[in-house]
Amino acid sequence: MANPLKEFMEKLNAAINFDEALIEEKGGKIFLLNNYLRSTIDKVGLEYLHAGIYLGSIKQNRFIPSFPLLFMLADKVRKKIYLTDKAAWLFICGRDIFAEGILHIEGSINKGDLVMLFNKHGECLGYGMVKQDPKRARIGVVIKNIMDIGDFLRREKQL
Amino acid sequence: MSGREFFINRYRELGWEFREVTPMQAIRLNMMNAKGVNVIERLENLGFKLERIPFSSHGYWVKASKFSIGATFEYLLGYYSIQEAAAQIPVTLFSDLRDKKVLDACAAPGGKTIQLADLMDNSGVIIALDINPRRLKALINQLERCRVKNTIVYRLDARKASKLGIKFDRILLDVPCSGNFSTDPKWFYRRTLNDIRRNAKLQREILTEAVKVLDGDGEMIYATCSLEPEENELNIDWAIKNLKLETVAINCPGDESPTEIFNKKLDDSIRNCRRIWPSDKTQGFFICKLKKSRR
Repeated sequence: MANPLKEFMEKLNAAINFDEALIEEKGGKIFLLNNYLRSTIDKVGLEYLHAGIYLGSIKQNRFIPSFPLLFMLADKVRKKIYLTDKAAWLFICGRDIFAEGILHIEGSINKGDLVMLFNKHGECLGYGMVKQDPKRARIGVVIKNIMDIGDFLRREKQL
Repeated sequence: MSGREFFINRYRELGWEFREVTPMQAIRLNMMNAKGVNVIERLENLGFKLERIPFSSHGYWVKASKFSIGATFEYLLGYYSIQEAAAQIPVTLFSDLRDKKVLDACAAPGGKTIQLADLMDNSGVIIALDINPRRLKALINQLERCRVKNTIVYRLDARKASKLGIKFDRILLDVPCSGNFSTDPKWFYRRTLNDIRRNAKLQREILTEAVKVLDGDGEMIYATCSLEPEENELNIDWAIKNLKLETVAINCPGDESPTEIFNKKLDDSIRNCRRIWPSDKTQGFFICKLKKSRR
């Protein structure tokens, strides 16, 4: 398994034991295949653009997760922050989270942690970095937005 | 040979009286992600007025909305795709998709690829081809948003599909076409018969290549959103006579295709094709199911 992927999962305190034989890196992108896809790719022998589940990309040795990977990890993480409707909407618009936007917290959250953000339905909206203890913070950004599902809309607008 | 009157007269000859239409926007639930989620209730709570599409098991027309149907959590989470109602039909006409090898020969921007993956429940494999980099990017974004697991995307011209070295159980030919006036207000002023003939030639080339990679018992769906017979019935008539294909009866909305067009007698089995004229519920569409002839 590509190390940056493993390191990212460790930072989130979550792990999935992927079969390394089915993980493939292509042009900086990491894909998770299954045996059928693996054998089809081998048979075709052409360069593909996308295959199976896109797990993320590696840029300058830094791992950028995909949303499918975040959704897979959402069930595994212990530290979770649930957002109010308003904060959830602002988050997917690329904004950071303030204390009043937090509905409730699961697990022990510390400054510097990477945490996954959820809406009231328990659906993963992305992840961010804890900037201050959410239980004590009164003013300022509590969670810095790193990646949110609004990215799909932003990408569509760029096309 | 172009212009509004020219085309409207052709439609009259085919038995349809032209009228201005504005097809309703539609969505289709992606059951691979939406199982157990009350997506419709959630959208209705946001102010969307939805109506079931009777011919699509998970399709809904969007009758009213306060904001874009593409700007909801539910869309971003891959619970549904925005897919015009008639465009939801072709993929449903394959007899069985589970565990199959499927070629989506002109796949981008991916609405039907996602629908294929949904109906296959991510089993088997879909090979999705396209050549336009911008549209391929859109396809790949859709695959990520909808968390599709069984698709491999190649930048490859459908006319070179035999380079894949695979025989497919199912082939979707949602071929590049001239489109129609219901989704493009300037259509009548932009299109000429020469464009249509050029597209028809490209479509025949794609059909020719697709036959080479279709398994003996395989099924092929040919679809366009063009109303022009050159891209539809005349191409299928040509395929029956030149590619040893035969049409298969399908059960879906639309008019039976005529077997005589512009004084040309076509193969009787052309009546198995369906022509969907534009309305306020659907855009124009042509659909045909094909398999290799046993004759």
